[in-house]
Amino acid sequence: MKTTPCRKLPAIAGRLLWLICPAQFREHLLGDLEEAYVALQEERGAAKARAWYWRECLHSLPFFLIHRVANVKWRALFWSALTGAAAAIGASLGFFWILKSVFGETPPPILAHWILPLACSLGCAAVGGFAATLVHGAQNRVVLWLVAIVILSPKIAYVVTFGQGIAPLAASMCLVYAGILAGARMPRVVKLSR
Amino acid sequence: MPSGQASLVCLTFYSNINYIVIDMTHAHLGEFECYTLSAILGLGDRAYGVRIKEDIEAKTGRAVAIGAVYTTLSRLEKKGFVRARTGESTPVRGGRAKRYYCIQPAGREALKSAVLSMQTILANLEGL
Repeated sequence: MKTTPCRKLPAIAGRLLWLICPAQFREHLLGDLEEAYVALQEERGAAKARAWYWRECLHSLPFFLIHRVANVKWRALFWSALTGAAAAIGASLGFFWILKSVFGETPPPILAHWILPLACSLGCAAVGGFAATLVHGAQNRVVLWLVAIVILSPKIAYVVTFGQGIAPLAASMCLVYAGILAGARMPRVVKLSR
Repeated sequence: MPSGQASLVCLTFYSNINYIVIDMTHAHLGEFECYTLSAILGLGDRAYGVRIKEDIEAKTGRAVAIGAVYTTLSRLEKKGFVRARTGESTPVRGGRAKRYYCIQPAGREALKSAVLSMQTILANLEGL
């Protein structure tokens, strides 16, 4: 009796493809791969089909990355570079003060309580905006959220470590979110103003 | 401006436009683009991602990544050489629809032009 083969696709490879593949042909490509995977599984077994799926995934990634870079909206990239410059200034200001406080030189109270968190928040907001603009330019919302998490995590860790309390944390998170949202909106605003 | 000179300017302008139009229809095709277009031509109305990939692999004898096929198809679609339409979705594809491609007259012309160029090159090589 012929049994129906288990159609469990390699989850990580599938997820990777879903993340990197441009949205315009993502569904069709995944459907094509699934169709070929099922046929190969029936013909040559599950292990070979899985190996084939992984090979297709890894061989396709460079093409998708090149396709994404080739289709980036250059005007949005200009604004990204501008935001990036602001990020560099804000972040270096913030991290300069962090380093000073880490190496024993205690900053004045007014600096420690207000200016330092504000500088760091602005820096993080600008970094968030910069990253989000880039990601939005590449049209990938999932990566946008990953970037947001990656940026927010050290920010939260910093605020918790230096004991700034819940109010600066909430304020800085609002600033970071504002930066990310502003960055994500920027390409659309630029497009509308053409 | 004398009328003769004006008409000469118009003619030059017109011929320039003509030149641009001709240039657009005979846009340069890469090697892989040629393979993809010929596969679409050979498969007829059954040309979609995996079938095109298998056809190229069978004809050239080399492994082709599905990503290369899809990015090339996207480029050809942008150039106006192929047209895509969404087909039926089947359970074997996890309910996902197929994307069929068909060659356009501009694509046919571009392929013909590329093949002619290759034939000229091959003819020149015969003397070596």
